[in-house]
Amino acid sequence: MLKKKYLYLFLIPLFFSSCATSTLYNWGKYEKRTYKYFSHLSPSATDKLISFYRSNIVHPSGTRKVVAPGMYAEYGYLLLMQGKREIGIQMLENEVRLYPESETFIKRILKSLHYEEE
Amino acid sequence: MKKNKCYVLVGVVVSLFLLSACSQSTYTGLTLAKAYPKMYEEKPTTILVMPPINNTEELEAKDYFYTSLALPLCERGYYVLSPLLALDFLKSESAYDSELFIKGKLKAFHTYLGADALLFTTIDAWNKSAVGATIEVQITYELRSARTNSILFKRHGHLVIDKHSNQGGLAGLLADAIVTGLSKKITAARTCNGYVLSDLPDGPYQTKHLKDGDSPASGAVFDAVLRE
Repeated sequence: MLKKKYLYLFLIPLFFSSCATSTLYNWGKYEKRTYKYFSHLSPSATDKLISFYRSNIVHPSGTRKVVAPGMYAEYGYLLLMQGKREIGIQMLENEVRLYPESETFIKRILKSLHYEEE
Repeated sequence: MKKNKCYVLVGVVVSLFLLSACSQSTYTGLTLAKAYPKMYEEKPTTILVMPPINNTEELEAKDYFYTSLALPLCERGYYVLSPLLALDFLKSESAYDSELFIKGKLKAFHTYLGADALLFTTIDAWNKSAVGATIEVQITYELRSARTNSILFKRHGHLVIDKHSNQGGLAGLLADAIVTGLSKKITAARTCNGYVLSDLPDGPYQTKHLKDGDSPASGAVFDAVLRE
């Protein structure tokens, strides 16, 4: 009986507090990792960022259950910078497939990196 | 029976406390459609975040804001051109200085990059209190159409971000010391972006896209204290 009474303490706040929970995408430590990449531009910061993307894209969550805008593009771009051509381009293509509005931008980026014939 | 009522009352009080944390805006009678009509006319989808214009002595403020703007815009339902790729591209095209474009024609950004709108931010003040408990920011956010050059969304004002721990005395001071200065600044920028962009109408990946015109808006000018 006592346990039933305590339920009020948990269920009512849970009902009212649903406004604070959902995001469209899973961001993890995206801001922290990208800030460190921009501010340090070190191989270590780049490796940590790449490792972050690798793990983030295999666990898309949030209410849309898809990878967040820009994640595939940034992952692919950094891989291209490291000379990993095939997988890098594949990731950039994934960005366009998921977000067709990115096509003009991604084509321009590939062109600037001299991959426009791909 | 009386005990039952007591539990319900405690539950409702806790709920109201949680709800108070959900919304920081005050009701002004203004709606999103009235405050930002061009957002509903032009229906931008794709946003390019321009490097912030930093008029303060806090040199890193530019990076704090640049790296924390994409997330809230995406969560509002927009597609944001990757800041990481865009920055390298803008540098390679000598288009890194936002000052050169904030008053200029933006059509080329639509033609060559597919951006519907560009977000400019101008940081005019970034002052940290002596013990680092508060950060005071004076800032302007301006979303301009890359198709028509119109201002789609603009807010400017003053924010005090109160980083002070809820714990008092020595425990509070120790808790504050554990959070590094850098983390505090990044989260302060994030809080600032979250507050200002909460007035942005929903983008195409949000369920209320073009249906939130009657929702209350806070308006173009803000002056607020945000507690973290």
